[in-house]
Amino acid sequence: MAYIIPTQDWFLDIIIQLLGSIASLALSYYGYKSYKLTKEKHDLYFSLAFLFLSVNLILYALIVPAVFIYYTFYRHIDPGIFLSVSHVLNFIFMFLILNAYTLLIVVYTKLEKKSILALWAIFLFVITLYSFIFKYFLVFNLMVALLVLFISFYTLKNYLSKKTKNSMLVALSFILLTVAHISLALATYINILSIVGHVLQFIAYVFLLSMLLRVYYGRT
Amino acid sequence: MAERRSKFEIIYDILALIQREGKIKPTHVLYKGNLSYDRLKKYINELKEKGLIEEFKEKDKTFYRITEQGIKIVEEAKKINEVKNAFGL
Repeated sequence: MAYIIPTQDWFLDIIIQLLGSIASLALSYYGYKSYKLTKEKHDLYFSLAFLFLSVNLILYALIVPAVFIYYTFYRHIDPGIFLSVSHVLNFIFMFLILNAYTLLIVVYTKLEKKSILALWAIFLFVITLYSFIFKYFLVFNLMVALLVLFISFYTLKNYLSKKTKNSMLVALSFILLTVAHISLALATYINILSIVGHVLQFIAYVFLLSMLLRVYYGRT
Repeated sequence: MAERRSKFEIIYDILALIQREGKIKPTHVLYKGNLSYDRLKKYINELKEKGLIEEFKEKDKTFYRITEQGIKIVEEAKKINEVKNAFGL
């Protein structure tokens, strides 16, 4: 029986995704607590955005060991079902991440018009379907990079007006995520950029977690 | 021109003010809270409904004080406020 031996890249990937999901879950929690107090839609969107990101990252972290377990122990079972499930998960992964960042943009721009939100949701679905069907991860990652760039602009503006360490950590985090997704997009052509992208994601999540720890311990 | 406070900031300011003062008259909340009477009434009613503050009478005068739940919320709200500030929300 052939075994797939997980390499250190696999485990690094899992660690990065889990780190990101912890940070996102904590942020979702804060957003939810704010929503409980205010019942404002934008607090709910903030919470949902990071919940989507967290679920997305956990799913991604689970896929890696799932692939290992399947190919090691269940290879004799028709891969059809497994492949179908992983395709569906891949689609959900892409759709969730696009929706998550879009929700954050809605929060920052205070967008209220339901018609625009509905149109945007359809557009995201089309982008996800296109990227998924044609395996055009370049389009997907560039779309994500564009959305995160938009958010980076607002977080950078916030840091420049407040000049606090926490706002700096958030701004840096989103700037790094923007560059990470550009790297992941271009990894289609230059393999090493995949590692660069993952390392930048890791640093971005470390910054977000640092900010959360600072808040928890009462540092501004 | 100063930016308008969000609902979260207003609720946090009111709770923190009542916690700081221990017990406070409605008119003092009005002056120190920097809100119109109608808006203040709306927020106070909401906070009373949520059990975060309570109204009581002392020598025929009405006062507000924060509840245990309200104190917990203020502590949480400080952290939430800081996260929101970090994100610029």
